[in-house]
Amino acid sequence: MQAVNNRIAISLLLLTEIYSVNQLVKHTIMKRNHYVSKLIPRLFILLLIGSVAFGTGGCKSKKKLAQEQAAKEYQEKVDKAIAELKAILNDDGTMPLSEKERRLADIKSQNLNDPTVNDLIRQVEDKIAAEKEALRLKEEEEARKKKEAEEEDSYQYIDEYFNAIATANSVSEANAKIGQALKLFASPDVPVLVIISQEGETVDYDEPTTIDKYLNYLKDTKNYNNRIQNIKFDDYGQITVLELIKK
Amino acid sequence: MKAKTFIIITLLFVSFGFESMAQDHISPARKQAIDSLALEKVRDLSKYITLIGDKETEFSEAQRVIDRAVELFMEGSEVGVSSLFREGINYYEVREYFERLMRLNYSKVDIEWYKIEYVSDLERQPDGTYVGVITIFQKFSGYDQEGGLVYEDVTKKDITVYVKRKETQIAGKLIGFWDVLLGDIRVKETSKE
Repeated sequence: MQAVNNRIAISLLLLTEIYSVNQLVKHTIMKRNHYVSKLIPRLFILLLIGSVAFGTGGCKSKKKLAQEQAAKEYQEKVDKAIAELKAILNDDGTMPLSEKERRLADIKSQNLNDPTVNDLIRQVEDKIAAEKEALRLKEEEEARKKKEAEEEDSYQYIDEYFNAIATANSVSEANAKIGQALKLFASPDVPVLVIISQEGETVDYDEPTTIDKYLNYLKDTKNYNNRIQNIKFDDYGQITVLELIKK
Repeated sequence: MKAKTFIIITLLFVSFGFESMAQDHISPARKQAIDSLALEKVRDLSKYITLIGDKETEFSEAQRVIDRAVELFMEGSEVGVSSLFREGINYYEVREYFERLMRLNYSKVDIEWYKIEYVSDLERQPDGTYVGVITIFQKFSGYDQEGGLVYEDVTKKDITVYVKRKETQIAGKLIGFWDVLLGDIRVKETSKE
């Protein structure tokens, strides 16, 4: 019985203790809740301030980053443009003219507005203009040579007359050839010009003569060492001016 | 009025000065072309002389060739004639020389010019004319009716050459040409061979 009583006493003591602890906990929780209820608005304000503060700071950093990124990208574009422009300037003729023009147009369309790039653009423009001019002159020269070759072929029959007169075996044979050759000309007085030297724009001629005198000259000297340079015809297809050049 | 006259005279002076300067500095290639042109005229003359002297050349042809030959010379130029049979040298005006050549009293005449070369290069004179001297050797052979050689000599002759740039309009185009004219032909020496 004593043991039962002891157990009950111990149990009661434990219950009392639990209760007191519970009360303490409750008290502590209530106290804490009180603090928490007070702390929450403060924390909220702090969070708000912090978020505003940190949020603004984050925006600022983002902008800076974006600016830095943009600056970096711009510099990269400038460097690339400079490299491409220099490549065009240093090109020894391997890059086609159209490719140079395309690259230049691409760089110009970027409107980089960089002094070095602008200066290089001017240099490249000058180079392209010079190359275009050289190409134009080359094409003109080729066209001229082609025309000359075609004309030379088409004037071969006149050369043949001249050679026949210069190599005639007798005066009568030469005179007969002269008579035939003269029919190609508008008159026996058609001017004959012989170029003795050509240096750029400067052309030196022998003293102008007439076709009649020139054909007789071929007969007398037996010497035809010229070739046909240019011929002018009238509406009837007869020669009005003959220009020869020393071979 | 005086000022205007002064300006005109100055401009003319300057323009002539520029022209003369421009012609002063002709390139070696152009100079060579002029040298060759002058030599070619002398070679042409040698062919004309051969034709004129040739008894087989018809009279009309010979006359035409004489006209061409005379055109090569400056007006009033003379040609020296020598002979192994007489002292001294006779000088004839060019046309008279060619006429005499055509009528030489041989049945056949051979005239050959060789060693045609400059003895004095073309040099520019103050008036812009280039003057030089070309020397030639002429072998003359005269035959009788039977074809026998009657007379033969070799004469060294000096020909003065005048070259001047001129301009003319041909078919509406301004042409700059070099006018080559021959002057006197002087006999330097005559020998049998």
